[in-house]
Amino acid sequence: MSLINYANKEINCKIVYYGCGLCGKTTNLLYIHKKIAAEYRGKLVSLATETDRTLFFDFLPLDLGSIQGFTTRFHLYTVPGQVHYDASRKLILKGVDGLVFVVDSQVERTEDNIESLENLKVNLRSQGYELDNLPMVVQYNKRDLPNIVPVEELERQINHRGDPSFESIATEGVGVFDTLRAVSKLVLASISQRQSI
Amino acid sequence: MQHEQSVELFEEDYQIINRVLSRLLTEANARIVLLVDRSGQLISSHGDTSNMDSTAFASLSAGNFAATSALAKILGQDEFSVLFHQGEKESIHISVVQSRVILVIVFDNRTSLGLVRLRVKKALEELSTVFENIFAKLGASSERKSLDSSFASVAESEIDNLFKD
Amino acid sequence: MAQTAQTAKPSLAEAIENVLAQAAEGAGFDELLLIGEEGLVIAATGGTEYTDLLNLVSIQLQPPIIELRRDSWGVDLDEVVTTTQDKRRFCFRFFQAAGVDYVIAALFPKKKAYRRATNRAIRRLQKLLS
Repeated sequence: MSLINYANKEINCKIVYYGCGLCGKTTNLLYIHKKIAAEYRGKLVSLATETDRTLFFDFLPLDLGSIQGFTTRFHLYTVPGQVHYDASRKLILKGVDGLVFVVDSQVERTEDNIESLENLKVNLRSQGYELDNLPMVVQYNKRDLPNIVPVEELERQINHRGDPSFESIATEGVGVFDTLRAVSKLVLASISQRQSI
Repeated sequence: MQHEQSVELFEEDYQIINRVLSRLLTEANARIVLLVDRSGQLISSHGDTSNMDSTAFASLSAGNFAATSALAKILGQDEFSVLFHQGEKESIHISVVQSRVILVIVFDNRTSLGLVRLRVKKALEELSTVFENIFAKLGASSERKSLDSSFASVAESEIDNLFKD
Repeated sequence: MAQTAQTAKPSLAEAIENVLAQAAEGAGFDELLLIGEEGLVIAATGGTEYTDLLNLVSIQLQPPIIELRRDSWGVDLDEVVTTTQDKRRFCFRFFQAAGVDYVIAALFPKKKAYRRATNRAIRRLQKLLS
């Protein structure tokens, strides 16, 4: 549910980073915030607990500048990954235009990833959306850790519809921008498809 | 389904919205008036926002409203139509327009909650009419689409340009 | 423990509403409201058609009235009354209780006497609100 203002020529889209607790959603945003020049991004807002766990959401606005006369902005959000924050997680999905599903590649997180994907589908439905109608990019994070599931196996577990997927080490920034570029393009393509004749 | 649609604003509606907001700012003697999409996107702002991060403010207002609506649902009611946060110097009044858009007023002791409340009530009636109209148009047809078909491809190169390490 | 309606002490809100209802009924007011801090309506009785208007005008009139009192002109201006073309009156009466400023606002037909009824209501409200 993007906001398109033809009067002052603005397009705003909402991208949500989803995934189980501690999979690296906030780390993605922190890296993007660090690397993009201040004139193209706003402040990173984090509603976190004292131990830096996301409580409600993180928020980072990005400004793509003018495209065909339209000032185009992306609003990046993360959801709280911990299971018991489900009520809050649902709320962040309101008005989502595109998703990044962040996967914790470690073997012991397999169940959590699958559960989180199921939870995403349920929560989208509760807000009146279907995952099938939304652009999504999958990110296999923590590829630097020793005990990880091979990508082919993760693809089978998570990426059922063959969305673009990327391996990443979010703490070092590896794969972070590949993911962001891919989801941004998908979102704008989907908006543009809906809007043009 | 209405929820899956974008909010699209055209010139004439946007002008009316801005007229209503600007009058509300003056008549309520408020500091700032913001109109925010429920997903957290800023539609319009009036008043002096030079010392304020209005993008973050909009996003947090929507989050605030969403959280409170969820509280209302737990209590078995639809939503709280008005939220009021009182501060020592500045206060915030948040209300909902047509279930889809939220109106945020920031005010200080130059005015009163009573006055803000009364002015908001009037503005809400006017905004409701405008948005009812907008949503009816969005629901009715797709004839006013005006993004160029090459928009996505132009956007792609901008994305490559900007979103990089 | 069973309590009859007569012996149960009314809450402050009920007591205030009673004062307004009795004043409005006795004097034949169409609408009567009490406006307190922050310009908010504390209680109202009668119709609701002009509630917002009475509230709004009360809020707008209160600052100059308070200023006059503060500046000690020796004039304790406690009332503003306007008459409409269709022979109705809007009456605004200003008072303090425990250091807080209040307004009671009433709407009634032009011929009605209001001063005594509102004086009495103010005295009773001051007692309740102190």
